[in-house]
Amino acid sequence: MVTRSQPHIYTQVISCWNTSFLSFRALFNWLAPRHFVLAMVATPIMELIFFAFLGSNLGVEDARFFLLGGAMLAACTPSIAGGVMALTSERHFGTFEHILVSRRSRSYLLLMRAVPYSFMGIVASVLTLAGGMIALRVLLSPRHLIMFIALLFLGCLSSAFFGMALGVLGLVASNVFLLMNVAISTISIGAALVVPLSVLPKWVQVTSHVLPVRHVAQAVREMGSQDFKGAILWNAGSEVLVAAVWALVMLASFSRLESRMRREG
Amino acid sequence: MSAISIQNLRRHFKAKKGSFLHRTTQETHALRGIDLEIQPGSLFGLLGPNGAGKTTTVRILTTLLLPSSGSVRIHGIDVAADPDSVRAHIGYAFGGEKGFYDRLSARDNLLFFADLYQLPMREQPKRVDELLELVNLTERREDRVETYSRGMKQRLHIARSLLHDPSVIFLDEPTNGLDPVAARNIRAAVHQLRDAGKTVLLTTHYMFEAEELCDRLAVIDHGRILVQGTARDLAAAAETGIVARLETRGANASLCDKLTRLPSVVDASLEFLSDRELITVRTSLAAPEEADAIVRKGLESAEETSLLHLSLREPALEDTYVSLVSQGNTGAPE
Amino acid sequence: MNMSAALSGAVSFLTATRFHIRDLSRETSDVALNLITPIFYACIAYFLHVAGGRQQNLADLMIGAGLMGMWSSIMFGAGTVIKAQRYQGTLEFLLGSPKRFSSIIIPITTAASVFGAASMLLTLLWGVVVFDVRVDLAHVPGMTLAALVTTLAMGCFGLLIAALFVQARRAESMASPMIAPLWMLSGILVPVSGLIEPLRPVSRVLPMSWGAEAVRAAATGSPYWFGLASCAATGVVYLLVGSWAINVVARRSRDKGEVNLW
Repeated sequence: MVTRSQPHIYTQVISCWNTSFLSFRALFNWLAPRHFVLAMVATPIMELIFFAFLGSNLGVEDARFFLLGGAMLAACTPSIAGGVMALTSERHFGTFEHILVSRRSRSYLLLMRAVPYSFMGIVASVLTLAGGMIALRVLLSPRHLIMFIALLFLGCLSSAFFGMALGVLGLVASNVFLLMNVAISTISIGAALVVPLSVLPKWVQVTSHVLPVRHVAQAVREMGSQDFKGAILWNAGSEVLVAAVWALVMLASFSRLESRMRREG
Repeated sequence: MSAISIQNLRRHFKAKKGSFLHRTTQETHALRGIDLEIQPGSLFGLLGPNGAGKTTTVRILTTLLLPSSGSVRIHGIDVAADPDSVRAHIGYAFGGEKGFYDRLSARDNLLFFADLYQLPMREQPKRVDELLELVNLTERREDRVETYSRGMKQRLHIARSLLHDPSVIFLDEPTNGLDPVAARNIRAAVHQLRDAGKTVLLTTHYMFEAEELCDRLAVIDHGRILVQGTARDLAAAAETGIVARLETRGANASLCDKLTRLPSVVDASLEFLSDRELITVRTSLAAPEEADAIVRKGLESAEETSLLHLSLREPALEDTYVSLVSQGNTGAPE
Repeated sequence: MNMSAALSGAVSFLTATRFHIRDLSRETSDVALNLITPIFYACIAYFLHVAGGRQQNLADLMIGAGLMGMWSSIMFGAGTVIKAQRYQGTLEFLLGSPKRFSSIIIPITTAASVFGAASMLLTLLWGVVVFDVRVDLAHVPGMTLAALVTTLAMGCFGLLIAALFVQARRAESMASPMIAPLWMLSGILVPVSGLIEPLRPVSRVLPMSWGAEAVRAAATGSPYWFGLASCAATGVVYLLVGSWAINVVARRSRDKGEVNLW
């Protein structure tokens, strides 16, 4: 006989995490270390070396700018791609209907999924940063490194929710991977990861506030400056807000899609 | 109270067709007024050809689709108005190769779905192991599902449908694509479900399976129930009588047409083999000698056809089904 | 080889290439991705150019950004060509046909290269429209010729890539980290003279290095024949080496009975 009782909140959180982690293991395409390192670490390291090389030849910024930008971009790809797959792969495996029939709230089912992908983003970023520091001979102090990782977690979370919002679109559209790639390219420019913010047109600077990692990038660039504390508080808070907005967009669009599917088939 | 109660269920779909400049909307009526009452603890079969409306009916019952109109209740709960409450009482197995996370083990898959079905965390491992034992997958429980055969996946589908011990279970073509041994194991599992007091709705197009398993049946085609009842009730409704099986040389489609037009002949179908043809003639006659006479009369005019062998038998459910579907409505739009 | 056989071979090659261009075009999102990604590279190059005080020729940067796209098309397109044929169920038919396997694969790699050329054109147009890049129309025929030879030479290079990646289980994962180094080595955004000394000879074995030089020279009206000839010559070398490599792989798979494992 299966009992149904109202569990303690702590148990619910643990249970939610277990399920989200199982989902991550089932759906993330780059779990094998070799593939993860090749696609999510080696590639961004090579790209940041390239942009540093290009930048120095064009007389732009220093290697530290491209190192930090490249490492942040490295965090975006697994977080966003993972977020997309957290939803679109359910369709691929034929398990989406079982998600829909579940009595669990959609927040329970979906929100915690962003966490493992965020961790993968941090892992990719830290490894990229390590490789980039060796290649470009730029060192970060341990204090700055810790700050970078802490800020990056927020950026990865907002990237993952952003990816999941795209993933909802991917449940009905066939070209979500195109959108995902365009989104990552847009973030590389709009969040000023590989180009200085000051040279971007004003309209890009304003509209890019909704992009994940945008505010984390601002805070990271301020590391070591005099007004760092103020910058970190302001930008970290803004990034949390961006993450919350994308989480809400994702949940709302999922609910809307679910209703539409029940109505229209 | 019925376990499943369906009254005047209708469902239509709108599809946009054509190019950007010339778009039209096409409406498809998948269900055109279904009425069904299924008693608790019974095994009910829903038969029909592809596109008849079986899967649409099951999707509405499992709360994945809303009805366009009509009433659908499970244990008295409206599936459209209160899907959450309904979901606590139902389990389903849609079958097929997909439906699990291939990279995870069977045990991990079931643990995942156990949580989705709100099993308390402490009970999940025990329940999962019980069900894996029930469907004989204990030894392979830590293996990735991608290594499973189709039959094993099907058993895992059934295990999942039982996680939260639902009282109503929907099985959508559970033996489709399975070899005879695997299919037999699944049918044994279905028997067990009925013996455990579950209400089971089974869709299938294997007649012998429906005959073997189901207490009651309904035949659906073009979105309408053509007839429902026991296998005997169906046979009476279809007026299926003796079935003649002819082995011939030189037969063709026009001979089949000619035989179909004979009085008391319900249906005639032709199958080409390497060195002969097989014609199955379904009549509405109860007496074998009458069936024999009418078939031989039909062959008289076919001089180019030589009869190698003629055998007669009592009608099976398949014959009833074929007769009903051939006699069924044309599905004209409303 | 007589003239009519050569002509017949050329017609066959062109027909097959056209077929594969149509085949690769059937997924609109893949085509769009191939064409749109270099535009982002062009934007990055432009903003860095502005940030650096506009020291370089903007037309060169736009051409270079487009050629970055060609590298992606070749590495992913050619790198996964055998796998793609296997997934479609056509590999065994290709292998079992009377034609040499290399003659069957090279139109596919050339088709991938054509998409790269299209991205180069689109990126240059983007530069003209959005970033006010000036291109002298008198130089367009030279640029077109240089782009055409580069495309064909890179198609030949793709043949070697297809042979090298055939055993890679996840060819995309292997190709991905190689692309940025190839951007640097082939001097498409930063001239080869900007590389450290030990890497410059490596750059010279890539058809793209010569092709990029030829297109840039043609764009400014400078002499480009040496770059063009070198690009063509390296292309021929890759054609021979790549053909040999892919035919060896095909023969070995038949010996080992591994056709369906590609």
